[in-house]
Amino acid sequence: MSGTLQKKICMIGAFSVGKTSLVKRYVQSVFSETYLTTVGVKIDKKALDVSGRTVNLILWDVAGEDDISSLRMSYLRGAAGYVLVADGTRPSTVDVALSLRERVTTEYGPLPFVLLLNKYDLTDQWEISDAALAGLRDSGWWARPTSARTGEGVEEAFRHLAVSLAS
Amino acid sequence: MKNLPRVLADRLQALMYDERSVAYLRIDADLKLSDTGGHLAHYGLTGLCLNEPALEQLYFLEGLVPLAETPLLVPSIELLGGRAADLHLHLDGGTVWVLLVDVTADRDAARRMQQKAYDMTLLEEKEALLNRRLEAAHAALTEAHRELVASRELIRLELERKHAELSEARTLQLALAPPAFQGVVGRCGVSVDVVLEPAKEVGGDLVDYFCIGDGLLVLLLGDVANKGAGAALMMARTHALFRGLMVHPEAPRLFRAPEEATRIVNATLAAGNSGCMFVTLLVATFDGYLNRLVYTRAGHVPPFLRRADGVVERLNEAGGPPLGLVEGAVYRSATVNLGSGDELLIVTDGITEAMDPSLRLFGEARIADAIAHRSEIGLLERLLGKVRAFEAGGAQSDDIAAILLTVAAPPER
Repeated sequence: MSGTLQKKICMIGAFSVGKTSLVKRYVQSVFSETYLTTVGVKIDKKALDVSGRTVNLILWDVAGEDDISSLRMSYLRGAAGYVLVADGTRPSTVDVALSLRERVTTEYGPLPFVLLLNKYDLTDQWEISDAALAGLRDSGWWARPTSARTGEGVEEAFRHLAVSLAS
Repeated sequence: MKNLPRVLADRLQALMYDERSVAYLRIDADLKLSDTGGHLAHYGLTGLCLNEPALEQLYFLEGLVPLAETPLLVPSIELLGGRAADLHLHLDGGTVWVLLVDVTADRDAARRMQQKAYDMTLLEEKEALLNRRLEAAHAALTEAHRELVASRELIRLELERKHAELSEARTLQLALAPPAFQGVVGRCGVSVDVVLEPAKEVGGDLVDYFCIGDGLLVLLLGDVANKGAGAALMMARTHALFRGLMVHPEAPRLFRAPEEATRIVNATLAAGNSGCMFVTLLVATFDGYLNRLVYTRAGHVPPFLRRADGVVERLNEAGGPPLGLVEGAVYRSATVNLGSGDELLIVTDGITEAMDPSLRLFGEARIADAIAHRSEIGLLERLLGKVRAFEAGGAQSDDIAAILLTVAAPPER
């Protein structure tokens, strides 16, 4: 048996919160200003070392939730965990993320997840107060502000999830 | 297919197989890749090894196999090279078949529509956010404007109140300046004329005269440093102190030697004068029996004396510090004899330091020139006219005060 672990991770959240950009930042270390919407799902792979063991994260970048099309829960079949993404400049996307978490939990049980409040670099448009972030953490969740543009918090978030999956 | 004519069945197969780039994978019960076929290269699936673990080669199947339900459709998965495929998985005994059908064109069409819809939604969200911020800013601005209007109204009312108070103070201060006088002092006929024009509503210049007994005429002309309400209060206090001495039992002695009256008033003003306000002052006492003028000059502009023969003299003796500065200051007096036709003019620096538009001073020479020449128009009126002409419409820079004593011929008895 190989010592390598392979885990399916789904990126979910409202549309245009930066799920694809976070994956690009994490996997390719690049960022593009151009917004290109995701249709269906896009799959990437990132290998990382966790305590001397290789963990392959199979990242399913799932199309965002919007008013017309809701998330296809079938995409999460077989996922070991997920990354909930919200846009810190659009408070309504936090509500979408929280709603998605409930639906995933109902469908697949309490999977490990991290909550990322993305676009932290847009300081003049940032709408999430420190108190609100503290409130999310008080729920026992791993929640962090991130920036796909600068990379702030991105590596840390995926590593945290990988470690919890590998343990 | 069996119900279709052969030609249509072949066409349908061609449509599906070639135009939708159908490919397949077969995974056995040990999760090893056991068979492949179709347009695998179309999806970048090359170099696959049969009888090797499937999930290490086909990582997009992670979590999907072993198959929990059958059949299973996973729509629109983007694989290497950007191709999108619907993944059809179904169980056949212990084997999982994976069918890939290209949906790149459908995905791209959906993306174009979705992109426009999302762009529009994002714009609407931004517009709504900007509107909310605009409304909040507008509300804050409206509130600030309301407060500003209220503040302005309060300030206007306060200014009105202060203006009314100052106007009343001006009336009271101008009332302190006595009217012109013409009469007999001792054995001399005299006339006294005064002018007082504060630069602001109230000023710091002091002008007064009074008689003590039937033979003494005391002239007072002072100038408080600075202008405005503070100077006016200092002026009023100085005025009141001299008026207090006027009714003192020893008033004749005090004013025959005006340096003594000046010393007493100075000591009172200087005591506790934390603001260091001061008054320049000229006190002159005319003895109508002796035709003699005794004067004390506390830092004040020397008076002008025009003799009856037209010669202009300056009374620049008897200097001393302005009142209010040195509590124990000692003053001196000087004496001149006055004859019939002599004129004594005392002014404040509001006249000597009046400025023209190029900031030149009116000066003492112009005053001497005015007093040297006689005219049907009174000297003070002429002098003020010259000052106004010199200022050429400019604002009065300082309080103006002057007093003119004219000694007439002795009255016939």
